[in-house]
Amino acid sequence: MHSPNPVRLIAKVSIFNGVAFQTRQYQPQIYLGDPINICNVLSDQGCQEINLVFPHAPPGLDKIARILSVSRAPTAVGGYGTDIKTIENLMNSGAEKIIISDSLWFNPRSIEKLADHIGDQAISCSVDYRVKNGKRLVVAGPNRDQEIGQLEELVQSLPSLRFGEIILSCISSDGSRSGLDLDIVSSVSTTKSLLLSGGYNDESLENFSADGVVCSTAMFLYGGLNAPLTHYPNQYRVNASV
Amino acid sequence: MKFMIVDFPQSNFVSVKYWLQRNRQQFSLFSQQRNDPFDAILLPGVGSFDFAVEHMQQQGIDQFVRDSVDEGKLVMGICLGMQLMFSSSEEGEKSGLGLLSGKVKRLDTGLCKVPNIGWRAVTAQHNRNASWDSVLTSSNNRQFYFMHGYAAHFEDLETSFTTMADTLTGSCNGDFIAAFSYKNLVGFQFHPEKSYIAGDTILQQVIEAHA
Repeated sequence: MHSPNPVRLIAKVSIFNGVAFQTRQYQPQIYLGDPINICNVLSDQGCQEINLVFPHAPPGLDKIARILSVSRAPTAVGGYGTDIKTIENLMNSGAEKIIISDSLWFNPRSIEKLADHIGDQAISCSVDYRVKNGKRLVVAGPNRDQEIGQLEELVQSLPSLRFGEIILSCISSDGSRSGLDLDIVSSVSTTKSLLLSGGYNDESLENFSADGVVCSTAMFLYGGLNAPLTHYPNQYRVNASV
Repeated sequence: MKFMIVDFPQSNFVSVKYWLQRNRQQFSLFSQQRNDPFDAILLPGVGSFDFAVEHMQQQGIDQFVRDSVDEGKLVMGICLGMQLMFSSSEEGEKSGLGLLSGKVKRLDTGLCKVPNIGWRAVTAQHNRNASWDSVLTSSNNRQFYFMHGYAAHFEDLETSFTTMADTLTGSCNGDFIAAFSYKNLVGFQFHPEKSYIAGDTILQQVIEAHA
């Protein structure tokens, strides 16, 4: 059954060494520019939500605070782990949600402790996977090459954890516009909001089977020429100005 | 209007600070400037019920808020900040501020996923006071950003509230209170500080209504 709520379209801003890039399979591919400027433009355009992601080493909190100071959209931040003090500082810098990934598999207890502090709804879980020989394999580690197990089985173990939503991120199709992995929706049973990431090709999200999409190509590769331009799709904007 | 922001350690009080700055409102942070003069207390959102209550008790915020209510100052709560105004919550075991009698309850399960996260339209429900006419009229059917697993439900609250409060209603497997004004208390279950122009408008209107 479909959710009665409108589909969420979340802008994913991937930042490497302080610079935003359009990624391909989680690697920086096309230079997009200063994330402060990008978040400002996305906010001007009425972007529903922003996910700031640091695939490699995250920057200092002062840099994050500067980005968050211009983000008027609800913003989640990933790449900082689950250390309570660090997460508190991140929230105090202006983040609304935290994105957790590797801790799901290596330190699930830390997520429970984190939920005690910031609430379940402020935790977004990203399950990153690659498609290999027809199988969806969950991956972890700095280069996303550490195979943990089959996605369909691992996701079933997640509902006992306390979190607000789950992002299924297909690294194999990240940045490719090859289409979302829609088949996964019927294989995953969850009572939490389910967001898909990887491969979105601007297809209609009417009658969409998940709750939302986390993507970057739709916002940062504009028009037929795929020009690197920040442009949140008109039809998903919320009213940002008078 | 000058606000005293209660800067809970796990909250998004910085977003609330930016919201007030954008709307040219003055503010102080409780942890640094608790002795500053102010007109209204602002309890921000994000966090868990028990952790926030514990922090309030340790820092004497609970008494500070109650004293301010008695002095007739406005108390504005956002999301968890609004839920803290009630007697208790199913999210935790500790007692809330008890400014309103009633229990905050977990949202029912159903087609709408819980926690309820995203942009949702609200509906003007009860309009009892002329001062909130503009808030209810302009917010009716307008979208605000929600991020919550618990909420206050109209039927669980004290009679004086249900007969006197102005309310906006949200829905997630059943109706809940999305915003209210009751005496000198104002609560938002949604995040007006992250709701763009809708949130800016409601701030201005609430300030005018309670000036």
